[in-house]
Amino acid sequence: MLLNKFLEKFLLLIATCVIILWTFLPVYNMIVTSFKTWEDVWVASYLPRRFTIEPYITVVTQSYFRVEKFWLWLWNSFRIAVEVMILGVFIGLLAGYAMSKKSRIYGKVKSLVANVSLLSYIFPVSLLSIPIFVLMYTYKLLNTDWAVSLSLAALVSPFNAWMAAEYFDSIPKEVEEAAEVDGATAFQRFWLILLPLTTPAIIALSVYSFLYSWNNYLYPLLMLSDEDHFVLPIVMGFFLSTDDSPWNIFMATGILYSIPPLALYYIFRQYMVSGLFKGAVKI
Amino acid sequence: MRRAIINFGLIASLPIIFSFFLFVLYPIINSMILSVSEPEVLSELFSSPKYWEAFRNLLIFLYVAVPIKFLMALLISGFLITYKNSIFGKIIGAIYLLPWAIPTVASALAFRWSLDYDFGLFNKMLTDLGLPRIPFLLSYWPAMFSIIIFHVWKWTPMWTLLIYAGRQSIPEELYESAQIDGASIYQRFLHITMPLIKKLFLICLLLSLIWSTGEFEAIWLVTMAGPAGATHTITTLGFQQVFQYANLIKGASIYISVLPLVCVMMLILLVIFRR
Repeated sequence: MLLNKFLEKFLLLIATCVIILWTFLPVYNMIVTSFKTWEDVWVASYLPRRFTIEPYITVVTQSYFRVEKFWLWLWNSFRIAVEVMILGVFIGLLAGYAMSKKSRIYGKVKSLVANVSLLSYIFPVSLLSIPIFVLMYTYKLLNTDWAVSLSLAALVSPFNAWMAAEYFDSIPKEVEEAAEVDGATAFQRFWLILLPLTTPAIIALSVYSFLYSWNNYLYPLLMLSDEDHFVLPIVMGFFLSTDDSPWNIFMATGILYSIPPLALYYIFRQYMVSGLFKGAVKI
Repeated sequence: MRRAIINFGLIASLPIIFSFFLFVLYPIINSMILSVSEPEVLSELFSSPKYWEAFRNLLIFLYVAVPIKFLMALLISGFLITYKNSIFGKIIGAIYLLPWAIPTVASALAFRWSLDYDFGLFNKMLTDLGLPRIPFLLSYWPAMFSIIIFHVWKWTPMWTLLIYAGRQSIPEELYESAQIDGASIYQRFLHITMPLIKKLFLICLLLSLIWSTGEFEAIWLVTMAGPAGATHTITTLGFQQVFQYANLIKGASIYISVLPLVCVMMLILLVIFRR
């Protein structure tokens, strides 16, 4: 009995280690490489032989030609992510309200909104990239923020709409009824009563939309071709097409770019996970 | 007052309908028209071995990566459910979503460097264990394997989360009474867990099939469709036409050509979802 219990704990420990190893190994290699010197990059090792923060300094001071506009590209990433966040949450919240039991519109319009959101949510986003590229090309929007932020906002808002609808539905209808008796219009009830109650959902959707844009690679790559409009992922993609490259600098760039999303994720983990949870449980 | 209610609800539904028509429906129809406008491009496409090679790669990728992903998602979510109150479960619960939150480009960089033949960490570990090196990115099957590993690493966490959420809503008493009746772990999984999460599981599986059809980053960034373009799938092939050869019509045609496949899967998904 005691042996069995011991064996179970032992197997459990092994399973935990395997999952941790699986999750962390590539990240670990990334961190180790980013602290190596240029010569040590070409020696595979589990720890840096000489620990240095030189690669980070190189990136931050933009003193290597492949990261010569690091801060500009980072700012572009940030600006586009904020645009996507504002637009995506705006469209998502309104559509979520229209889909939910709170709005009193014709059933047909309501199901149109729901179907439209569902269809664009399940469609593979990368297969839309070239069609949207053609659209942006036609309207001469290529190489502007709009090309990226409008398309990403359109792609992230269906998910936002479903999540927002869940939240609106979970608010008891008595809350709204009191205000209705006092003569508040539908917009006033939405703005003054429902929205403040959906704060957790708004936080979750904002973080989700921000990360969606920050982490996206395909759309910026396709839509932006002028170096001054680049976002950092495009530049990091170009790293891969070079031989004999300073991998320590590349890894340092990757880590610097991963810190904001990871920080956001861990700060708002509770909100984000519970939002996703709700959707899954409902199915 | 009644009028005002109707108006605001309608106004609220406009932005998403507008964005659907402008950014989803119209672009697709537009590309369809574009690809039909020059039929010779399509016929040339269907007779080129490059296209069918990419199509084969896509099928291999889908039918290997998706089952692995869901097997792992079932295992890890089971681990999280069983040990949610122990320290092991809490540690895994805190870190398992990490691959999902890291930007794809950054983790693809990490994978590419780890998979390097001479200086990569994975080959270093293999040599230290006394095993031969694997040319991960240098020949066809290892390169396909690398793509699949990266995709599985990146996307298992999300499906784990969803399946974990579904399993959490199963009442624990069911398992307790089954345990008293002497049901084994395997029996409990097959006769309690699976029937109760069947719908969620099927929806996730189909959704994953649909989305993986459009997988781009794993191929473009990890193997760069190499060696020598052998690991192209439909998405990267179409992208390359537009991005490198500025051939808009051919790129659009390649994307449109998988639309029937995607639509069939979407239809099945919608039928399950509505049931």
